[in-house]
Amino acid sequence: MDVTTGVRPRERSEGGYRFDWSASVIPPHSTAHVKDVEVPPVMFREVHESVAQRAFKFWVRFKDERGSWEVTRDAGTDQHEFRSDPPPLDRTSLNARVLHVGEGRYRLLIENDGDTPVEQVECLFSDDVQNWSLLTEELQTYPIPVLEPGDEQRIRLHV
Amino acid sequence: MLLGFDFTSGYALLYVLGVLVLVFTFVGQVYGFWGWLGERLRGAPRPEREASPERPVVPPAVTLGQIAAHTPLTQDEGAPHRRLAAIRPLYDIRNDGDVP
Repeated sequence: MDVTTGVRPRERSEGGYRFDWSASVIPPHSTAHVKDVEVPPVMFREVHESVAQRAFKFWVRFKDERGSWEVTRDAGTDQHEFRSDPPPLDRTSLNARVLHVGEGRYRLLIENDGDTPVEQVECLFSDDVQNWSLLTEELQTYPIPVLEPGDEQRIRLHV
Repeated sequence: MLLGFDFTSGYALLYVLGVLVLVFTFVGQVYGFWGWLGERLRGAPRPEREASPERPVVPPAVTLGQIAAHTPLTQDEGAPHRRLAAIRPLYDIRNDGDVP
């Protein structure tokens, strides 16, 4: 019941990314096909195409009458692992706030306070904010290519 | 001379040992009585329960079928090599058990 599935790098034993796929139940002696899912690019940026098929572990999580389970298959070794009461998955979280750093001077602080890297970070203001201008030309590259967990980026903000 | 006993005599060691035996006997009796009294008041201690042997965890009969992945490549403008554009895995989740 409540079947979800996802992926994590082979070197990790927990955490990982959950695919946009789920099944409420898989009846006894039957099979559910997982397709139309994608490994997030941030997980394979260091992976060469020659090992892409074997670079990950795929997991499935579900509940039965005995509790919560995680079954993992290592695509490199084709070995299965079982675990009851698995720990929570990685959390993706990006936080942004405006800092007042002096007389009429502001910075937009963007910080990755989650557990996963975030790529191609771009700032968009809502339509009702018209007198704010973000000086992104001062950055080496924009959108920000990647923010690792714990990383932050300050961008000058003209108000 | 103390209490009519000559501590410088040869019986001093025997005298001290005798006193120690009396003291320890008394303490032992008091301790035993205290335990007996506590047992009467609280009731006899329960025998320790035998630890139940841990039951082995039987994993569920769920497996992931052979994993394949579609791995298209892309080449950035001006870049010398192609790189992975996406990894789209395909696999099955098989429930071989008797419960959903």
